[in-house]
Order: sequence, then C-alpha cells, then structure tokens
Amino acid sequence: MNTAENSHLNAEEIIRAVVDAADLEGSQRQHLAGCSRCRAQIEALTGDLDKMAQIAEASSPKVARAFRAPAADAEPRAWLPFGRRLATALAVALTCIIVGGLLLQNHLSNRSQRFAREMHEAEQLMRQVNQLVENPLPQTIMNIGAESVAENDEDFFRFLIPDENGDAAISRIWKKGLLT
Amino acid sequence: MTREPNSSPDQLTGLVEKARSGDRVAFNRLVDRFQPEILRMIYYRVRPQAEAEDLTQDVFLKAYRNIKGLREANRFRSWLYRIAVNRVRDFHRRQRLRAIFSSDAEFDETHLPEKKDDGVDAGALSEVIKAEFWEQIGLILKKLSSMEKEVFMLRFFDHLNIHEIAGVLKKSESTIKTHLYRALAKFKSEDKLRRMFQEVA
Repeated sequence: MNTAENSHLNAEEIIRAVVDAADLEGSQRQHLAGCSRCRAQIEALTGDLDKMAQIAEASSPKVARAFRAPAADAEPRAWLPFGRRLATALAVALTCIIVGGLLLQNHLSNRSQRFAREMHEAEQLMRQVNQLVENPLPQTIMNIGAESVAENDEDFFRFLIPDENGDAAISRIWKKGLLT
Repeated sequence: MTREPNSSPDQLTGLVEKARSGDRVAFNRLVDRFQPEILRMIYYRVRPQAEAEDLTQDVFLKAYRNIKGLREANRFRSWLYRIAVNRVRDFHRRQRLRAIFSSDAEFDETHLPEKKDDGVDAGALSEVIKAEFWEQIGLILKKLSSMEKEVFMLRFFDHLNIHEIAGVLKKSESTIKTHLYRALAKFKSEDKLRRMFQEVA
C-alpha cells in the first residue's frame, strides 16, 4: 500500500477514494489534498460515472401515471393483532378437527351397520338354500303325498304289489278306509 | 441532470409520519417526490416501459399498504428502494420461469431498457447514442456479478449513498464497498464506454 505523502495513489486507491475518500489513510488524504494529478484521476472517474448517470436519466421515461393512494373504502382491511389471529386460527383448526371426527365416526358407524345387515341377509339366504337342498318341494306338496300314510305300512305295499295272499291284504286296506 | 423537487429531510420525515398515521394527502406528496426516481430505477432494470410503469404502481401500492410498519420515518427512501428492488427481482424470477416454459431464445438476462424511443424526449439524446450507450452498459454489467451489478447501479445510476444501499440490500457497509471496488475496477477498464463519454461531452 502506498503510504508515502509524496507518492501518487495507485489504481486501487483511486477507486477507494471514489467510493469513499474517508477510507483512505491520513497520509493518502494529505497527499491527495496537494496533488492535482491524483485529484484529476479521481475527477475523471467520477466524471465518467456522472455522465453515465446523465445519459441513463436522459433516456428514461417520465411519469405517465401518477400513483394516487386508494380511497379509504378501497383500502385493504387492517390485519387483526397477532394474538387474535392465532386464536382465530386455533378455533378454525379445532372446529375442523371436531367436524372431521364426527363425520368419520358417522361414516364408520354406517359401515358397521351395513355390514351386520348384509351378514344377516347372507345367513337367511344360506338357510333357504339348505332347506331347498334337503326338501326341494314345498311342504304343502309334501303333505299331499301318500308317503306319510304309507310309510312302513306293510298292508299298503302288499296292496300295490300283491303277493300270494293279495286278496286278504286288499280287504284289510278297505277296512282301514284308506282307499275311500 | 434533472432532480425531483427538493424537500428537506425534516419535511420528508414529517410527511412520512403523517402518511404513517393514514394521511393520504401526505402519502401522495411522497409519491410526487419519489415516483420519478423509482420509475427510472425500475426502468433501468426492466425492459419494456409499460412493465416499468406497472411495477412502479405496484411498489407504491405496497408502500401505501405497509407504511404503518415502517419504524424509522427517516429511512423511507431506503425502505421504498427495498420494495422496488424486491419487486424487480420478483419480476425477473417470473420472466426466467416464463422463459423456461416458453423456451424463448431471445430472453436476455441483462434486462436493459429498450433501445428504441418509448415516449422519452426525442430531443434529449439521439437514438444512436442511446442505443450505443445501453449496448456498452449491457456489456459492462454482464461482467459484474449480480451483487456487484446491483450495488453499482444503486450507487451510480440511482444515486443512493453507501448507508442507504446497505439498508436496501441488508448488508454491511463494508460489504457494499467491497462490491463497489470490484465493480468500479471493471468499469474503469472499459475504454470504449469511457471514450464514448468523451465524445458525448
């Protein structure tokens, strides 16, 4: 670093002087005060920067639409204080949890009721199927059948298939009154 | 160089305090004072003038809505520039995103103002000089990092002091100066632009 009062500022120090002359060391500031050459370098650089800003400004547009603060009724609603915002958010969250819980509970309850009903219907159906497998004809038809009357009735069978004593068997059937 | 109507720091602080308490007239006076420089600041960074005007409106609307949250009235200018810088960054982010999805090969990262005249005083500067100027500025800015570019523009285009820039970018003053040293060293090495300044002069 250049610290001697009589030596000129280098390029880095010229830049530092342009950014903030207060950042130069005391001896450098002292040199700058008496050195027209170093001051000219600084002025040349600051002059270029000023010209750059002037040209940029000259080529920029002017305000076409002045902003105007919106009327009171168009102003955004003021925010609630943090505490009230937090309380409101908690209340909303709690309500959501309760409503959600109730809906879920209702949903589960409906499902279990529907399941029990379906199980009951299935059992009834299986019972009917089993009955049909065991007794394919309705009970009224079964009652008409003679099987119950003729069951184990030796006389009736002999009536249907007479043996050598068939006549006696037929007379016994007549006597029982089964062939009225 | 044109300058906006001057207000003393005390007057400005008084206006900011009134605006903070909901005085629309005071806020509109602040707008009259700062809108031209905010529009320029945005125009330097955003290509079309219409976009710059829309963004400027957004900046002041946001400032109006949030001015009650400004703690130090004497830092209004830094605060306003901070809103503008953030709005411009947001705009560029969206542009980049749009460029990705539209595969726009013409998208230019520098976002320098248009070279064509767009309502600017035609007599102020010839179109040729303007076009040449922005081309050269674009070449210089491309050599700077994003932070060097922002600091350089805020200091030498927008005329903010080091303290104000530190407030806008939320960095220490020594960091701002370091970026300025680097940016100025690169600027100083651009002979073509400096020769152009001599010719304009």
